[in-house]
Amino acid sequence: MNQRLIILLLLAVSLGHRCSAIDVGLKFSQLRPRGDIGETYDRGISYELLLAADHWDDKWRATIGLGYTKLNPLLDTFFIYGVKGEKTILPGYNTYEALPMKYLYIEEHFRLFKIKNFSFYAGAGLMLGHTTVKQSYAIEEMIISKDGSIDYMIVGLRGGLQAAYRVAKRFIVTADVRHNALVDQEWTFSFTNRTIGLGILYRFNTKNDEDNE
Amino acid sequence: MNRIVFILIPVLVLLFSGCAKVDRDVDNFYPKVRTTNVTVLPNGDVRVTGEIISEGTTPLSFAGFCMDTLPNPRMLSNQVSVDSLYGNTFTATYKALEKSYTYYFRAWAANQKGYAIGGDVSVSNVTMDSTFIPCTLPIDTLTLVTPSSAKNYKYREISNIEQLGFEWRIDLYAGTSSIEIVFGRRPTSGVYRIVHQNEEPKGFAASIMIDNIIQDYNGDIYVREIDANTIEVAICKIEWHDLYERSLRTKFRASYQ
Repeated sequence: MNQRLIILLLLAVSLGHRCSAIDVGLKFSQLRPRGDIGETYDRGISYELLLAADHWDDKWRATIGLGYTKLNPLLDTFFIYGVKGEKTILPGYNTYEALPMKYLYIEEHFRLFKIKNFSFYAGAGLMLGHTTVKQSYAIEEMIISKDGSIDYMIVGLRGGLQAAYRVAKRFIVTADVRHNALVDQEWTFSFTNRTIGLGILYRFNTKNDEDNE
Repeated sequence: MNRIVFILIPVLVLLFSGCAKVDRDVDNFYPKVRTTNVTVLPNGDVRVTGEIISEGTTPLSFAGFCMDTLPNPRMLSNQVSVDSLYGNTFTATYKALEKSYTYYFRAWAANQKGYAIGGDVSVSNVTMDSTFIPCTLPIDTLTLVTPSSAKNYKYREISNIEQLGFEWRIDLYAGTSSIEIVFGRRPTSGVYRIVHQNEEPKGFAASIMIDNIIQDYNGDIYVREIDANTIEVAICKIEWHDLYERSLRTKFRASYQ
């Protein structure tokens, strides 16, 4: 699908949400790679800047956000090999540079329950992003040293659980666990990951808030 | 309703995605392997043994050894792969090694993730045990065997060992028969595999021709150094086939010019 079309779709879904309050938030998560990147890259920190159409008193909440992470490889060198004939082993290596991932997402949260200032949500959403895999590899007699850089547009779904606590009139802290199922545009390589994150939201004044005050 | 679908579909997709266990145990990605020991066999071959300490996180695919005359041989140097493991150990036999070098061996193993290589173990003074000849034969006698008879001959002439280029040659005459033996190297103690006359004998290999007839001769030639100038050659059995199954056995001594 055309990348611009997806972005427009995400924005339309997000902005189309009926909102009575806008929260601006920051979230820091530990990102745990799974899928095809799981055995190559180490855990890393992901940073997210988000806007939430927050209905503190409503059951539904929409979020749109931008995220960034950079994952270091698990090993300095991966000792790969090739096979010549039936069983001649040709030694080789593969080294990776850190993997940067930029992504945009929208999410819809459904509040499962609320007790005073504490709310618990289940959510799901769509993701769109970009990453570049850079590696250098060689196999004796087979591949002379090669540097490779492949750009991937990544798309996928995300879902998870979130706990939110309203610590002050304008501040909400969140803790969430999330699963992000991501694939490249050709559905051949998985960038799936899981995150455990902490965030903080600042609620801007809205008419409803002013009314409540 | 739309919102429920919006949440439900991703949740279902997520439930079925990325659930496979990810192997992140980097310390155990690769096999762990050790070069256990190296032994010179009585026939001058060298047997090297390796041990798989752990297979790593995926099943073992290959195992073997590499060898060189320099420490820490590279994986492709004289590489051999083994066909089977005995418990956690595996062995390979290197033939035709020379007495004058020190040889270094390393065991290696590969699983689906990659490979690992063990430390090196060395051996020097590789030579055949002087008592290792698997048959007892009278000296300077040739025995020719056909389906109907076995005839013994005393050699009437044994030439000196003559170097011609990169070959060392001995000619023998007994009865009406002539034998030509060509070594691919200066014949020192060891076991020499017989190769076809059309094949250049290299290392511990030799070619043989009986009565100037090219045949597929099968067998080994055992050489033992008597002193700096003399060798003892024993052939326990060489077989070939013309009209009949034939074989010969012999033992003789030859000297350098």
